[in-house]
Amino acid sequence: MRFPLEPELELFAASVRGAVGVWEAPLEPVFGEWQDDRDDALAARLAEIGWGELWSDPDLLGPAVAGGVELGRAVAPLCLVDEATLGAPLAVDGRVRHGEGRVEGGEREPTLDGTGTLRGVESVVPSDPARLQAWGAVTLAYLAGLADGAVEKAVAHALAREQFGAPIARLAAVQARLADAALVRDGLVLSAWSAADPDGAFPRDSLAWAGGACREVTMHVQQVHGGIGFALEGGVHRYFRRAKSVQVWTDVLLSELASP
Amino acid sequence: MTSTQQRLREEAAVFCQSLRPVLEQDEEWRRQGMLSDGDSREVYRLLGEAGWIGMSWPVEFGGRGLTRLTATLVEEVFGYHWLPLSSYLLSYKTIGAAIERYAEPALVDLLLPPISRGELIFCQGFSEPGAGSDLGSLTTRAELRGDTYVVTGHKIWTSSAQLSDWIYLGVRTDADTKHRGISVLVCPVDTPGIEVRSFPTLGGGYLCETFLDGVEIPVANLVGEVNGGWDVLMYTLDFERVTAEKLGGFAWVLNAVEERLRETDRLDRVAAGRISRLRGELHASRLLSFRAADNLDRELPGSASSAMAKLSGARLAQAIGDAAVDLLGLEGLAEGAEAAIEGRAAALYRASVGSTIAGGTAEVQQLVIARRGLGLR
Repeated sequence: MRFPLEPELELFAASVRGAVGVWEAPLEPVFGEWQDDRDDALAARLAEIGWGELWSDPDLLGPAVAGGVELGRAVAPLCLVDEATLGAPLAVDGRVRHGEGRVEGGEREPTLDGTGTLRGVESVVPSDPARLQAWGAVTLAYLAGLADGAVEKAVAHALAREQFGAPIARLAAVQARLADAALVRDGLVLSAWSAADPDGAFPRDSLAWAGGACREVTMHVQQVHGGIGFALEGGVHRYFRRAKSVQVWTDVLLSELASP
Repeated sequence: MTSTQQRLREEAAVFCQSLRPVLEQDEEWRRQGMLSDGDSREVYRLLGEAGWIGMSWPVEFGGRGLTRLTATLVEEVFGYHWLPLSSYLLSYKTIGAAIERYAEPALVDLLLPPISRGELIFCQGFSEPGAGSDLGSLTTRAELRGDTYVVTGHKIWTSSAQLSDWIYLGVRTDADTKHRGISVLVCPVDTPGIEVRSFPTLGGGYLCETFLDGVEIPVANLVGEVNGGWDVLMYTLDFERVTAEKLGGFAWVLNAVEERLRETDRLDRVAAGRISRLRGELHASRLLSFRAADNLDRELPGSASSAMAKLSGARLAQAIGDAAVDLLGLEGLAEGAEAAIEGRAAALYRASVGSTIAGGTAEVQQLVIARRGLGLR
């Protein structure tokens, strides 16, 4: 990450990195089977450093964003975003993510990215403005982290992978893709920090843009990796699957919030 | 944003409102779909008279001693009110910045005060028929004879040359090397041997080509070192590529489209969602512009961040021009003052074609980001 943080934010980001560090996202999904990447031990480690309380004070939006970026970079379970901000799983359009054991009823529904989704549950559209603002800021940060982690992998790959007798980083077409990806990644990071303003509002427009923008970044990253990214081993696809998932859940929430 | 910056933006908005009668009388104003390409000697003069040109320059040059970032925040307001800004951007923001940084004190004293008063307009002679994206291949020759350079060549895409007073030229002073054989010279456009031809564009304004035939320019008019012009040109471009003023105009278009759809009962969820996504992208683009301006203030390497600002704004121009016409439907195709949203949808749609070409193509911005930002070589 080439975005220098103030010392105390960097310290908190490092704590989140440390808490996440020993956790490994499931690399090999079984498509069509219900999966849940929730990890109670990881949640406990984050709780120890105060992750769950960050929604409660607007001045803590800075650390929340710093930590959210780290969660995105690690493709960490989305319940860590929802529960730390909304105080509950996200339940919209009759579905809930990471809901098992947290909500009543519902049937398991296999999903693109293993978010432990249950269908046939009651939607609970969040209404507390402070919690919503925190959720928006951390979701933007998570998307920024996804984009950053993906771009970092693609740059490393492009510098290491040789074709035609030279690293593919020298090919103009690869440079153009990664330039586009980095541009959007930077826009996402700046948008996340912009949403950390304690006097700010729910970042509706940024959220409406950010999911699709992040998906675009991860598509570039898949393309640069070629077949290596298409294979499940290596885990490049985790960013691509998760970006689409965040985009759609976010769009549905925005839509429900807009309803009378 | 600080309270001082906020107050300055409010003052700028009041000033822009006061220009409305002048703008209404200008036929080019609504025809020109890209405010940064808009030419108006009168608006430039009024901007200077009111102290809005050279905001980041020291007071002794007619400036206000503010940061580039603050100036950029104000430029966004100028854009929101669709001020024709070509002369301002060329004379102060890009060429003026390079003169302030690289020219000898006598030349700085000569040129910056009349620019900040709105009396002296610059145009930029960079591109040539054989040197567009590949600017390092420029061939306009400058031969030293005594204390005078004799310049011969052909420049194209010299925006605003038809109303400029001075020209800023990239010239070749050493034919044996490429980038290290370029220098920068300035001279009045009415110097003997300079001929300007203007031609209309899809954007609704004009571009020019400039022919230089044995033009005599004193050595004292060098900006930067002999053969050190490449760095000067790149510095100029880093400023040119911070395009927050355009973003102000795009914000106005989105607001106007939304308002029009609401008035005509067509603001459904799909339309509102499309506008919201574009606003989110616009917000990110503004932040990229402000970061780039801040990097320039702090003299950090700015090429990659300026290229990001420029490329994101250029793509937004096309996305918003396209969306504005789609969302308004048939009335979005109409041009002129009587049309929906003052004809700006159709005008932006056609003018935005130039946004990924002028000031360095999208492909050049990608190269700059990839090489300087990501270290891909």
